[in-house]
Amino acid sequence: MPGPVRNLIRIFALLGGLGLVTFGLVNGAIPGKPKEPPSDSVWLICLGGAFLLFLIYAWLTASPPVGRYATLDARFRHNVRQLGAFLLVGFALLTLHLLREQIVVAVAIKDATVITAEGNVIQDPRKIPEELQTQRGAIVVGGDTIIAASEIISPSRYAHRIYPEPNISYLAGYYNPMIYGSAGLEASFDRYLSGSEVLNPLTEQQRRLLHRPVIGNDIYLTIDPHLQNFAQEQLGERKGSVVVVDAQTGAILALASWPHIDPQQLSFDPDAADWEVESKRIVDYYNGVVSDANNPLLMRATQGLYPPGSTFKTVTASAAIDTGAAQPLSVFTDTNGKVQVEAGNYLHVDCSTCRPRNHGPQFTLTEGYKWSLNVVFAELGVQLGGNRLIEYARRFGFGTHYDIGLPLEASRLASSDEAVQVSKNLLAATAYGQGEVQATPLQMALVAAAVARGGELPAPYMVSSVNDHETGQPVWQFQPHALQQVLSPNTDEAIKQMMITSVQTGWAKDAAIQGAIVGGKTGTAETGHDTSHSWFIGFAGKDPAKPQYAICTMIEEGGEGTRVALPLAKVVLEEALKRK
Amino acid sequence: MSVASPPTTHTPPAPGMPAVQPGSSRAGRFWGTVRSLRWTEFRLLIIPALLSIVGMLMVILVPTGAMQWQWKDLWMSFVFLGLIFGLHLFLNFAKPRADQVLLPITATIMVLGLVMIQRLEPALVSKSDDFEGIARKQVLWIVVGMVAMWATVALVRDLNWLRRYKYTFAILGIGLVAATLVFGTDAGSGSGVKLWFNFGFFLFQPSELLKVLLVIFLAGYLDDKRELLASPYRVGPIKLPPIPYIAPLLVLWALALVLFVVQRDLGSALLFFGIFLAMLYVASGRLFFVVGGLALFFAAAYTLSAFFASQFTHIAKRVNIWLDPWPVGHADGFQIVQSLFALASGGVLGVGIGFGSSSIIPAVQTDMIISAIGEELGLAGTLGVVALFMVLVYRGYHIAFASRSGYEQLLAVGLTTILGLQAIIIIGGAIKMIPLTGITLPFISYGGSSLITNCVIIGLLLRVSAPRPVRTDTERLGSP
Repeated sequence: MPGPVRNLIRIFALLGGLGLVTFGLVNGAIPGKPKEPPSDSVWLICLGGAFLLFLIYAWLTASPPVGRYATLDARFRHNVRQLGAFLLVGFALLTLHLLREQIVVAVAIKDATVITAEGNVIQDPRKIPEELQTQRGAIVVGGDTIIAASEIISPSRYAHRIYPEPNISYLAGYYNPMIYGSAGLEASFDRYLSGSEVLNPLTEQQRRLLHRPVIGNDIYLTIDPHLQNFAQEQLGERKGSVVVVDAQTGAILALASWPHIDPQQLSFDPDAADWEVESKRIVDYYNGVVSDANNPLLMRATQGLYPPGSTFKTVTASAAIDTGAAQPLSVFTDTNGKVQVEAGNYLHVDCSTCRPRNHGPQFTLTEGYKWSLNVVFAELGVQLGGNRLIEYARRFGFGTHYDIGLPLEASRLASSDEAVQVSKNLLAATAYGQGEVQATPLQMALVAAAVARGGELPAPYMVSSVNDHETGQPVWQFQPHALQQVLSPNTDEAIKQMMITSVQTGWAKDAAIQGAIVGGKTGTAETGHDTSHSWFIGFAGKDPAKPQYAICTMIEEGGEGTRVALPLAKVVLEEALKRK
Repeated sequence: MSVASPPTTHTPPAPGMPAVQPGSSRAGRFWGTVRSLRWTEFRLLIIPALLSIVGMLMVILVPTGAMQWQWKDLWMSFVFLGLIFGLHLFLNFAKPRADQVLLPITATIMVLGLVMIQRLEPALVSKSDDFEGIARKQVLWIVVGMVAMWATVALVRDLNWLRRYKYTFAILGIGLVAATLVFGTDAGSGSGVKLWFNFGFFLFQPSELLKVLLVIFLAGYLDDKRELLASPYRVGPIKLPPIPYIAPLLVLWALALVLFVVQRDLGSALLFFGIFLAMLYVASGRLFFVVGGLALFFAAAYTLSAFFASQFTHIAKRVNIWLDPWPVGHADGFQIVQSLFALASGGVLGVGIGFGSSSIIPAVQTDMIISAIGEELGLAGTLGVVALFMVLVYRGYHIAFASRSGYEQLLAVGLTTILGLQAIIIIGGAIKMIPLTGITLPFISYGGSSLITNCVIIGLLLRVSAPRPVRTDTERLGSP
């Protein structure tokens, strides 16, 4: 082989090998799916190719070719150099592979969690002791009721996460760092709970030096344990939720959903005799929850999106009065409980039990509201126009991702703004809470809260403060505030009055409570499967100017709002009014 | 690799020493003697000496399990110090011109292993009492190994003696394999692979000795037939080695195959075959022999796979685990997955001696010790080990270049290749670069057979690097 060709091959082999290795390393550095171990196939192919190319390079570099008549000794040296080149390439590949395993894919390997076909959990055994030694902070409701805490087990000094309140603890989410990670407050406030949020660098250094466990901070919730327990018991085993908000502050006092998970079942017990069995128990429970048709992982109060039905008329009426499109006493015509708003066959109809008997065709807006007449609101919606409805829904909080520390869905008026702008039928249906409008129970409670608060949408919150575990001093506090002004005070007063009228003389009259001001609106939302979700939103309080409690109750496919959601809301409000 | 530097490093005169011509006077002779002492070796030995003390101190100070080391357990470090400096002293007097880097490199690799075993013992004892006293036993093996190294240097006065009895060694080797097939026991690994002789106190692994016997035989045989091998027959387009002369080689080749197929000792088979091909190539310079040998091997293995199906599913399983150990990470892939976790948690500088948890890896004290090093000393530790083996191989080949006879050259190349290849095979297996095969990491893994045999290899290399001195004054004092 002539010299220049030889040199060219050498250089190309070297560059090719380096290129392959670089590609393999860079490819390994790209993060893959979370918790999945890195795949080695591309890397091993690169390494194999690089092996051949490096071998060619080293082989050609190690020794010039010996002539035919070279001495035995010269040939021997030539051969040994080539053997040496072979071993050298072997050591170089070891180095590269170590570089990959210990640096490039190290994080992916440490995080990897594989659940085998037999249900065995494969993950770094260092993870469990590390995580288990962290003394996570507690989650406290009502000032002294612990709903999640870490119990230290002697002598291993491992912590066992316990969730002692069956009706409240699920609000904490769950904590299972080894297999499923964490969810809910356990996830959103993890940096405080785990103590990874370094508040004092000096004590942190001291702790590390002495190999002391991390102690997390406690978080305090606005939930009233008595009210939450009561609401949960009243809800019973009905799919749905009860949300009670302090309308004046935005504090969430009760947030009951059913079905829900039992976070204790997902908590790893380090005291278990066999950790593998314990892991398997958790995997089995989780698989059961995931395959449950009732979907207990869905926190209905904040994640459940449903058509709000007639409760949404509160939003439509507010928009109409605030924009001046209508007054509470504006008159609408509902001759026979049917109306057509657009060319075609589609009729908007009142519900069969809604229209009072022996009443003429003329209804005021207030009457339309208290008797929940769809025809009135269909006409009002068309009169109002899509843009104004969109604007007021937004002001009431539709489309907002409230940051309360729980997984949450934003409610929405329609699949797109354009849809309600274009289709009159859709606009009319949306105006009485059908069509494409989707709301969470929390969102509807906030509609009632905004009305009760004087037209301001309060920022909802559930975590009131984070306190240092040792000193009890707050290290973080929520400042209650309003998100935005929704309605002018005058409009708000009118809407509040309409809601009160609805309870005094309308279909929501069973919600009246002795000695308190109560306003409300029922809802019976068609699901499209011949069933309907049962809704009630409302407020109650002793001070007529500032009713304190806003509520939303919702039972999935529960039937009529007046029969199911309303009585539930009434007993919960009565209980809330007993609070000090 | 360059050949420009001389094989043995001569100590340059230390600064401030009188520049006296050797042999001119009594004082001059004295300074000449001082200068010819093995100062390079002495200075290099400070590193393993410090490592053994510092390492043991760390092991004592960091609690790693139920059992705790006491201050008095530092005796192990001092025994080690005594051994390496004792051997150093011996070499100063007996073989002053022997290679000065081999002993320090070997001692450094050895002390890394000893510290890791001292650190692992308490953690392993918390799992099973079987591991009680492995650190003390390792010290014992180091003592025996060092004595064996000394004995090899001191007693093998004439390397031609090894050459003369090469067939005896070969038959001894074959006998060992045969005996293992009959009397071999499974040393509690549970794998059902019977590779050991149980002598009660001591489990002897014949494959360790076998690799040295193989090299001793091959060096003699190939040197005798070197010219014949280099000028092959031409049969049509194919050049074949002279048939009668390759018969013994074919026997050895078959031996490797037997180990591979019947014994399921994949690591040793790979090592033997590697050494065999490497020496064949060095002696003949024909790549064709290497490729042909490999092709024949695989062809034969393929044919045999019909008869030894269970053995071959075993091999297929190993390969599958190598490609993706995760789905079987709780069973067959447990070892390699845990090794990956250990390596990953090490990072660049490691978690520190005593702060890792690699005692969970099966066979961590033997085959998988590089993973424990990777966790506690990090990439710095693992690359350090790789670098040490590279220097060892480099020195070994230089010894081969510098030696005078063809036999010694081949012997040195073969012995060095054992250490280099064995390190690559087991480190590569433990870090999932190649399929994992169970062999020891020379000088680091716990175990007597491996440690003593490898010490003998170093002894032979030292012996090759120090030709029998022709005792003239100028030679003794080092020629310029």
